[in-house]
Formats: sequence, C-alpha cells, structure tokens
Amino acid sequence: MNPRRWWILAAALPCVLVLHGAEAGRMLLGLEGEAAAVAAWLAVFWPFAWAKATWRRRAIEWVAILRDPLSRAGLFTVLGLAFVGIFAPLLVVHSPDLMGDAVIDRYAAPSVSHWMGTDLLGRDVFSRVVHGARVSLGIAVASVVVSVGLGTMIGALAAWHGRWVDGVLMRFTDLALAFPRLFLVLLLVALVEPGPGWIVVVLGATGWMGVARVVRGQVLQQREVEYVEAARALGVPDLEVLRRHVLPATLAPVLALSTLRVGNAILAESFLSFLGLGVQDPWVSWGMLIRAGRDNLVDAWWLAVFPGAAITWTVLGFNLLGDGLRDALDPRSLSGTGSLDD
Amino acid sequence: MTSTSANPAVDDAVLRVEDLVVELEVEGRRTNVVDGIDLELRRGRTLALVGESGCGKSMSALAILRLLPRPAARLAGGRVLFDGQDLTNAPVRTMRRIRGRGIAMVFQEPMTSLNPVFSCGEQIAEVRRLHAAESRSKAWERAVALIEEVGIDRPADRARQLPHEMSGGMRQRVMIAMALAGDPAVLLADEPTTALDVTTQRQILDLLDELCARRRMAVLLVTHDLALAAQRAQEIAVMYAGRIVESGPSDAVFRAPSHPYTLGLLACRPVLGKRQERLPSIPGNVPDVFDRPSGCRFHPRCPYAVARCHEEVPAAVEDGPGRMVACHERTTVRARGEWIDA
Amino acid sequence: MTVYLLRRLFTSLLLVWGVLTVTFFMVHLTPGDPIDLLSGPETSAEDLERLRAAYGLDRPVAVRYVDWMGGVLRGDLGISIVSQRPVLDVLLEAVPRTLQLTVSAFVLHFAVGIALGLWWTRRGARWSTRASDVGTLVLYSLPTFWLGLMLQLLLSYHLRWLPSGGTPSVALDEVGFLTWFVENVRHLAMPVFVLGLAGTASVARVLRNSLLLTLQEDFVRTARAKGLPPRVIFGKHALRPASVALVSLVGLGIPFLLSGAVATEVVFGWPGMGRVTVEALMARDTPVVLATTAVSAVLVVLGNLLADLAYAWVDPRIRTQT
Repeated sequence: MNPRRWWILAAALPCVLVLHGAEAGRMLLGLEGEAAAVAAWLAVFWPFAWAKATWRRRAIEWVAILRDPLSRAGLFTVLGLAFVGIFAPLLVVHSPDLMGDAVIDRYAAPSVSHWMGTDLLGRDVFSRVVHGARVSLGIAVASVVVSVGLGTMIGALAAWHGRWVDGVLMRFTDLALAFPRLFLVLLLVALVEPGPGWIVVVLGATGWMGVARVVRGQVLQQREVEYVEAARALGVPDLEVLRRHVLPATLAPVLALSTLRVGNAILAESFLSFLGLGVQDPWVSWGMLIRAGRDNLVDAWWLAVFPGAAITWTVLGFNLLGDGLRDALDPRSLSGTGSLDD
Repeated sequence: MTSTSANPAVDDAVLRVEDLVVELEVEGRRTNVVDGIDLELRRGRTLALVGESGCGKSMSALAILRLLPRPAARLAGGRVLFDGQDLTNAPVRTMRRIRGRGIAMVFQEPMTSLNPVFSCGEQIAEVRRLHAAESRSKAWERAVALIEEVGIDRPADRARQLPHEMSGGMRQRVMIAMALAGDPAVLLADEPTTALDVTTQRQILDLLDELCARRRMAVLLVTHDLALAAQRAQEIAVMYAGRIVESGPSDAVFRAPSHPYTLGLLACRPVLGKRQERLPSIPGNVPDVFDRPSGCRFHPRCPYAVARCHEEVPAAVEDGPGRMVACHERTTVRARGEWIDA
Repeated sequence: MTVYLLRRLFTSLLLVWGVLTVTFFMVHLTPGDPIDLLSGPETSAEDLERLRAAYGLDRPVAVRYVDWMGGVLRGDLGISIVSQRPVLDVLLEAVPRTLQLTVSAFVLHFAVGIALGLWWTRRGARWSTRASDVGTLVLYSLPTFWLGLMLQLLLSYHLRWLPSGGTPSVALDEVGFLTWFVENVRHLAMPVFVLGLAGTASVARVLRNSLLLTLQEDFVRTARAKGLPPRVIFGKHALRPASVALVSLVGLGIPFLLSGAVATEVVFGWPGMGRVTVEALMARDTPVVLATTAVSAVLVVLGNLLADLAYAWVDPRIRTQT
C-alpha cells in the first residue's frame, strides 16, 4: 500500500480521538456503527501496515523475532490479545452484566461453570475479565497512538529545524520528563471528566517524551545522510524529504518503543481505574475489577487475582515483543561468559 | 619442531616454547593460527618475533601467559617451559603467581590497556602489593621509583595522574613500569611501539634495551618492523602464516638470509639514499588464516618455489651456528642471496 | 569540576522554576475552579463570589501566579481546602514519609542489585543472560498495586507475619531501640520490597551486561596479565568502569520510584506524598495537588543533579575534562 496513504490514516486516528473525545471512545469500544468499524479496522491494520513497511525495508529482522522463543511468545500473546479484544462477546458463555439470580451465585469461587468465579452481584468474573481486555487494551493502544503521533511531530520538528527550535522543544521535553508520570497523570485526570476518551488523551499527553527523543535522534542521523542532502539540493520540498526518506527510517525504533509503551499505558490505566479515577460504570476495566476485589481480598481472592494476572500477562507479552523488536534492530552480542578461570 | 639453540648443553634459556599450537574458532570454522612454533628466551637478550599481521605472533605471546581471547582462541598443543614447569597445563593459581612476577607483558595500545579510572601509580602499586606483599605506602613509593626508572620526570606528580592525562609515550612507559613492578625474569612486549611516533619509538626501545640489560631480563619483542628487529634484537625469529620459517642471531640472518621470505622482507624496504626505480614487493597477499596453502605456506608468493614446495612441508633444519631455516631451496637462496622481483 | 557543578545547578534551578510555572498554569487555566466543585446547589452566587474572593480566585491569572510564586519562595504554599491547614505543613509531614520509602527502595535497588549482578556474572552461565532478561521483564510487567495486594493477602492476612500497612505506632522514647527498629522494619518491609523489586532486577541486569562488555576490554587483559586474582579484577578493575552504566539508572529510577510510591502508599496506607495526592485529588483539594506534583518534579530534578554528580565521581575523566 502506498506509504503516503497509511501515514495519513495513521495521523487521522489520533486526531479523530482527540476531537471527538468521549464520543469516539464510546464508538470504538462499544463497537457500534461505521465509525467504530473503521476505527477497529485501523487499529488492527495500522500495526500490520507498519510491520509490512519495515519488513520490506528489512529494518527489523522479523525472522529473528520469530526464531527467538521469547519474542515469539510475546508476538503470539499480543496477537492473541488482539483477537480476544475484538471478538470478546463471542468468547464468553455468560454476559458480563448478567447478575446472578440466587444469593448463592454471589461470590462463588472458581468452578467449572464460572472459571474465575463470580463477584458481588453474581456476575461472571471470567467474562468481565475478557470484556475488560477490550477496554484496557483499547485505551492503552489508543493512548500510545496519541503519544507516538505527538512525539514524532515534536521530535521530527526539533531535529529537522535545529538550532533554537530544537533547543526550545528539547527543553520543553526535559521539563515534561521532570514530572513523574503518575503525578502528571493524576493532576491532569483531576482536570478533566472521567471517561475512556479523556483517559486516552491524558495518557497520550504524558507519554510522548521518549518517542520524541528517539525520533529526534533518528532524524538527526538521517539528516546528514547523503541522499537526503541530495534530495534537498535537487529542490525537493522539505516536508516531502522528511516524509519519504527520513521518517521511514524512524519507523523501526519507534515501533519497538511503542510496543513497550503499550505495556506502560496498560499499567497506568489500570492504576487509575483502581483508584476510581479511570473508567466508570458501565465500562469494565481490569483495574476496576481489582478495585472491587480489594474490599473482599480475604474472602474472595479470585476477584483481585485474575484481573491482576491478566494485566501481568498482557504487559509481559508486550514487553517481550518490544524487547524482541529492539534486539532485532540493534543486536549486541554479549559473547564471553564472565569467567576468568584460565 | 626446531630449536633456536644449537647446543643444548650450554642452555640457559629461561623460557622455552616447544611446538606451540593455538587453535582459532570463528563461526564454526577452525584453524591453527599458530601451528607449531619453537622459541627460546635467554636472560639479558632480546628475541624479536617478526612477521606480518595475521601470522600469529601476538597470539603466540598471549599463549605463553594463557591470556588468549576465549572462547574463540585456545591453546591446543605444545609446551611452554618456565622455571622447570610446563605452563600449558599448570593450575590457574600457578599462572596467576607467574603473571606479572615471573613473566610480564606489555601491550600494544597503552590507551586502552590501562584502566581509565585509576591513577597510574595505583596500577603499578597494586602489582607490588600483590607480588611483593608490600604495604600500601611502601608499594606507592616503589611505584613512584619505577615511574622514575622508566624515564618520566616529576614521578610523584605523574603517579597521581590518570592515563588520559598523559601522552602516548608516557603511557607506554607506565605500562613498562607496571610490567617491571614484579621484577619479572621475562618480558613479553607485543608491538610496544607500533602506536607511537618515530621519535618516541626510539626512546621507548632505548629504554627497553637498558632495562633488559640492567635487570638481566629476557625480552620477547613481537613486531612487524624488520628494521626495529634488526637494530634491537640479538636474535630473531621470522614468522609466516603460523610457522617460524627462519631464526637465528639477527645480524647473521640479516646479512645472509636463508629463507626467501626473509629475503623478500629485506629487499622490499625502501633504503635511504639509494635511488630505486621501482620498489620491489612480495607479490600476492598473506593467506587467510582459514585458507592456507599446502606444503610450504609461502610457496605461492615465492620466486624460488619448485614443485616440491607445493607438496611437502619443509622441515626445520640447522643452518649454521644457532640458525634454523625451513625451506627446501635454502642452499639456492643462500647462494643467490637476492630477491627476484617478479 | 566546579564550573560543571555550577552549570548543572543553574540548569536545575531553571528546571525547577519551569516545573512550578507549568504546574501552576496547568491547574489554573482549566475551566472551572475548586469553588465550583466545593459548592452544592444551594449555595448562592454571592456566597460563591465571596468564597472566590477569600481564596483570591477572582483576580487575574498573572497576578495569582506572581502571588503564588512569591508564596513558594517564602514557603507559603497556600491552604488546603479540605483540612484548612497550611499546605506546607501537609507536605512537611508527607514528604519525609515518601522519602523514607523511596530512599530505602533506592538503596535496596543498588545494594542488592549490584551484589546480584556481580554474583550472576561470576557464575558465568550463558543461559542466565536470557533468564535474567525474562525475569526483569516479568517484574516490570507486574502492576505495583496488585503486587502489593497479593503480598498483603499472603503475608498479612494468611500468614500474619507482617502488618498490612500503615506506619508503626510506637515512638522511640516509649519502647527500646530494638523494638522500635523492628517495628519500623516490619512496616516498611512489604512496601519497600514492592517498590524496589523491579528496579533491583533492572540494576542487576544492567550491571551484568555492562560487566560482560567491560570484561572484554584491553585493560582487563592487562589486569589478568599482572596476575591479579578474579575478585580484584571483578570488584575493582571491571566494576568501576562498568558501574558508569548504572548511573544512568539513577537518573531514570527516581521518577520511576516516585510514581511507584503513589501506588505503594495507596495500597499500604502509607501517609506519604502519593497517598496525600490521591486523597486530595478525590476531594478536589487543588492547592495540595498542585504542591505535591511540583514537589515531586523538584525531587526528580534534584535526583538528576545527584546522578550527574555521581557520574562525575565514578568516571574521573569527566571531572578533569569539564
């Protein structure tokens, strides 16, 4: 596919999310209507398009990733999660909202009919966890898209124009990095209405710094490369050079970084929901489930254990994949064994 | 295989290397980078091990102290006799006692071979503390004295300095001081002056001469510089592609070489004052370590080569008092005494 | 070196000023103010205006900013809307608690991490690189608050070994030193462990990688050629240059620890900055949130300054060159 087109599409997604805020969030995560279908298609398509672009350019050694068992595990975990996220309603027996009839259904321990037990209202925890995957993943991925979009813009601008633009933007980045992320997130969350859309914005607005630095580094390198100078000398407009020659080189490291950032975003969102500042009813997120589980930790351990395990497993999958991508880009062989016995 | 000493009875060799083999393994391919060499070092005398890069001379020196870069290289055969012991199968503890104390080594690149975060005095003093069991203050005094001995002025100040604060020549002197700190009987010098400018080279070599004589050390001078070997060493061993092709007292060997390679090395140096139309050269290249010719390894480049040279490895035979050569055509070479330029 | 220090100090001060300014404007430029949220439907408009005036919220932003900055320099950070106490007092109680937690976790990171890294490298097995990588990743993937809950479940509720949270209720003058010390350790054990776990693994891993690289350097070969025993080569010659890589972790670790402290304090009921911030957030107590966010950023800046100093100490080349 023409890289130009998918760049435009990729840029459009964060714009849509930002402009429509909660509305887009509802559409995306509730899977209603055409907008949601488009959004879902984008969310799945975009990483594949990127992967295809990097495959062609051999920027990332995909074969290496598939060979290394841990990276492979990460990749399959992520793909599996995407599958679960999209097809959630088809994967569960009970509805997540279906409350139990009899009192005996409440706080039921894990059993054959309810794999992860039931909660206070008799709802099946397993299906709530599965549906929670959708929300948690959706928010995390969307927020990373925002971060990457912002970070790429800032980093590329800084590196391309150099001098005082670079200075100002990088000082600004340093300033943003001075805040521990969670404090910044909490402060911003206090200023907006609760809801998945704004959470995406808040998480996105606090996670772009690393991407900006990486992109800046890459663009600075690429700027000095001869074919770029040649293109500029030929009168090719800057934006075109940037887009066609420089930015594709930044794809690979940014892809690795964004995979890792999804993990971070999931952790941040789950903590927010745990505090009650994240998604609200009727949305279900993993953090929210743990919050409910906290009050009954001793009696109904399954309420807190399973969602937390789900978070860990998901973040681990993204981390393994991200690590694998990073290694595929920059393999540093650590030969030798550290033994001095010779 | 051969011996540089003609008369074993008058043998005062402090270090003797017999049939040393070093195996190299890279990406599954194996070869003997050092393929059976013999050396003898005597007190108060310098033996130059001369050869082009890749012939295995540095590896030979490292093999003596068992400092080969693991796991790529390993000692695969032969004996190294020092003080009545075979070092090739001595326990590690013994090796550690001998390193720095019985046999010391000076390396080629003083900038990277000195630890950048410790002062020069400290790096010398720790040898004294280790091998001479001196107290901190005594060891420091000795270190300062050694720095003075190697010709550095203001030794007390210099001792406190870090390697990067010194010039290349000074760093090499510090390396030598460090090597001398244990009062070794043998000094292995691996291209000690290659990284230095010509004037400094001379100073360092003068220093080595003086120390060698004064302390009655045996010095192994590994170098690719034939002129250096001729000037500074009493004995010389010429190495080609892992084997020693000729050895003996240096003035005798240089006046009347018996091996074409030696002839070629001598002939191909530009001579000051002599008008030369065309500088002769040895045709071809040093063979790749994994792809060495059969028979005499020099035969593809040798103007004296005959059919036999291709099939049969020349044995090392005596060629005069204290001289050895490994060439089928040695008589012809001696007789003609000149390099036939192709 | 002094020039370097002064320059870093100056940049840090600028950064602190930037932090304070940005925090202030983030809070004060959003629509709606704390008064709106405090009031109920019965409050008359007049009352709202009076409250606003009382809090000085009716003046233009620029004036409020100058006022606030002036206050900060004097140590006056405003009054907490909820508790009516000076924010400075709230901070003075909470910040040391957080520091207690984070500094302990920090020390744990490095002490245990370095020991672990050294031991791991000396063991030498090649598979352990992979194992440590995975181990670190697993630890990084655990949600801090969930880990805290799980540990509480196990160690406090089921095994009853450790208290489930809070600060020790004994004062030094009431009981002997030993009891006081043990009580403090018991209360700190789980939070510090949870907070420091991922960092420890990270330190060990980074040190191991750095050591393996350093061991291939020429000067290690020289050290071996001198006959030095392995523990000296590891502990002295390889460790110092290798630990330069660790200093970068110091810089990264501080904001990470402070973020983690929020979750840890909430779960274990530890009355530090993090918990105070969350509570203030719930109650819409803006002055407090403002102050704690700013303080956390200031701590990060200070921490980075310390990290740069550590860098200069560990690598003497920087000292003499700058």
